[in-house]
Amino acid sequence: MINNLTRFRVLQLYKRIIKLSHSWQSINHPLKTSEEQLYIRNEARELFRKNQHVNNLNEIEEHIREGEARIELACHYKNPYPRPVNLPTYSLPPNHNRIRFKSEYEIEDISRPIYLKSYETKEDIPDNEEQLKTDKS
Amino acid sequence: MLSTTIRLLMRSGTLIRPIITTVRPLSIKPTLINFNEKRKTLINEIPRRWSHVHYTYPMIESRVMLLLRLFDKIDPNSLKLDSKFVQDLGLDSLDIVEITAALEDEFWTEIADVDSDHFLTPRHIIQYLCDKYDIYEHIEAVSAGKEYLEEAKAAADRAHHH
Repeated sequence: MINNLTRFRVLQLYKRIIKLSHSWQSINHPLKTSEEQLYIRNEARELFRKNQHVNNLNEIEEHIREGEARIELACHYKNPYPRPVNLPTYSLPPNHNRIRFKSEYEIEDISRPIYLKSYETKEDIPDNEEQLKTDKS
Repeated sequence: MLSTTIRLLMRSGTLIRPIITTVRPLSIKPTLINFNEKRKTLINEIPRRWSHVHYTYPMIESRVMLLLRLFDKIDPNSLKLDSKFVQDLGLDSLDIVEITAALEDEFWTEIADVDSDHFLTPRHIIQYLCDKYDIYEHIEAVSAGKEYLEEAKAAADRAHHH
């Protein structure tokens, strides 16, 4: 159940990101300051709305951690975009022709860092049999 | 006139940049003022950025309504002073946070999160800002003295007749 304290923390985080976007100066690409500012604001808007309906308290805590991690990474590396992450070991890149087993999705979910939590791909994981049938047809 | 400004500065000894409301005539030579031992500045060096701005109720109302109309999630035709954000205009708590951040930038003040919870209509925002800047010309004066006088008169009449 969402209590008032978590709601307050989420809104405080959102406000903090907006304030950061107003005072953001891009050091690596000085001409793209306004572009990065817009990126920060739009990204926050999208992701906060995407995760609006999360009800589990632990998940909300993790999302708050994700927001704070993004802020700290952006301030430290002077780069608002998320850091790219390698695929986990013993897994292959997604390919439409290949059957992807459920364990691959699980490994990918587990090995994802906290600051990429909102980028989970929650597609419908078809059973192996169903996928074989669709491939045949 | 200069002595009043010095008294203002000395009374507000903790401020580094006090707001000076008196006008200094050009005939008076600039003098040095000591705020604390470390710094001496001329009176005309003290920056006065927005201290000359005179806040009035129509000005605040027009600025707030303009800001809300510029927000892309609000339909400007259906925006009125008493239209509720959540019920009528269909906004979110996240949108209200964005609006509060924009208001903070517009009016150069800080608005606490506790206060922004109570912003349900534009009228609440305008009332909050009027309270912040001590504007009360738009409030109708209710004279409580009249009713009290009538009651006192009636009580005195009753006592007189008994």
